Amino acid sequence: MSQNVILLVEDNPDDEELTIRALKKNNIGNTVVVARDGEAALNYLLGQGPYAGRDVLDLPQVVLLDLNLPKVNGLEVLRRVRADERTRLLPVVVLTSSREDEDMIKSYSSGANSYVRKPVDFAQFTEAVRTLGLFWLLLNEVPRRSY
Amino acid sequence: MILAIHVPTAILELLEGEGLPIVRAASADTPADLMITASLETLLQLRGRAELDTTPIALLGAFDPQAAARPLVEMIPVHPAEELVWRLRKSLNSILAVRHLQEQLKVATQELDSLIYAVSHDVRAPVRAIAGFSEILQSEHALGLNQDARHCLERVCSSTARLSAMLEDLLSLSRLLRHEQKLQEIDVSGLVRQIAESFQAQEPDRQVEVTVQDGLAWRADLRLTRILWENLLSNAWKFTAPQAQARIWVEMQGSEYVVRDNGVGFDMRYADRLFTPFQRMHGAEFPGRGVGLAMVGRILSSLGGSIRAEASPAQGASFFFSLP
Repeated sequence: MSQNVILLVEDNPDDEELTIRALKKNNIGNTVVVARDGEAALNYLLGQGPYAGRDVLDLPQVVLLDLNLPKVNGLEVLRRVRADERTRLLPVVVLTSSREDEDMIKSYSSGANSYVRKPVDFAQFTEAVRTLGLFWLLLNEVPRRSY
Repeated sequence: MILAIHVPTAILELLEGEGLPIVRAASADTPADLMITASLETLLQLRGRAELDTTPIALLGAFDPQAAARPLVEMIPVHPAEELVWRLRKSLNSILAVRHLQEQLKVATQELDSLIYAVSHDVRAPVRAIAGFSEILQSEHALGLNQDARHCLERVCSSTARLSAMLEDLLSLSRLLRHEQKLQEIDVSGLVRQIAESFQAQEPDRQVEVTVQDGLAWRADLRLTRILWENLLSNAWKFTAPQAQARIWVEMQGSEYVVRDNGVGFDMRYADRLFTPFQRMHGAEFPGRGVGLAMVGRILSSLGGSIRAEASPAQGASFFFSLP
């Protein structure tokens, strides 16, 4: 059971490093698995490709999902995760630089648990990550096995 | 296409024989590039319909000063026949040329807007990285840096913050007119008072007397109307800050709306730059990045209106605008 995994789906290496630093800064010591495109994220979550044989029911505690991704975009990842019985209840937080209301609406209607805009300011970003961590890693009760 | 309403059959046959794209109709129920009629009464009726405001009309065979005074009305004699045909063809060609240019302009403006949007959106990612890593340097490695290095780093941080704020402004500007506009009746007096109250609530220590004429109202998009008035008022609010008793007036003078204040004013020599983004009349003593009036200008031009300002240093400023 590796319930303390955070799956970070992010194609920008700067944002990846900043997010990991922000997690560390908030003493969030979970293992961070990074997927650099939508396909890699789906492979991990659904146990396909390089992750064939991974116990799919061993869900990450939370997925931090960027929207603009190579190969399969974030919204499509979200839809496929929600469509699969095994990952249907997985907490997914959309973490994006988009300022479009439309993206927020689409994210929620595709089943995002929350939607966070990346602030430019690192202190604010750290604070956003802290709140996310507090909620999704400490307070939120996730069904251990989704069925 | 030329829509012909109440035109004698002999003239219609002549024009059709010359190959002009005539559509005979009893009323203006299809959109046309140009409408023609031989009846003054019909012309006045058509010109009275708001949805036909932008369609040119030619009155054939009559001259009437009342009709001539209306916009987009042309009078064409029916004799000699060659002149009628020639003038109609010429009118139609100019109308189509203008329409074509308008379409091109619209496409170009949309492309420019998407470009501004894409640039300001995509540039945010590297800016966020610069901001993030320099903040980490500042907060975690400040002890390893000498005083000069810390100073340079501070400059990097403050410029990055400014750059990121400017990108946000550009995004807001490009987003301003991308929404579909919904027309509704708006109680402008009430809206302006409400905005003034919210400013007062944010700065309870300021003494500002806002006088709003009763009964101001118009039909427009609420979101744009609100942004328009918020920016005009916020401008007056900001530049009256040094006054012990600040005053702002919102009223109509003739057909113009006026926002007047007794604030610091500005030098009219620079008035042409007022509505250009990031142009500021004052230095750091007043906060802001020079975007509010740019928004105002953009909203007004999209509504077909215009704005001008009158001011002199230390004498307050007045903004006059009109809507069609």
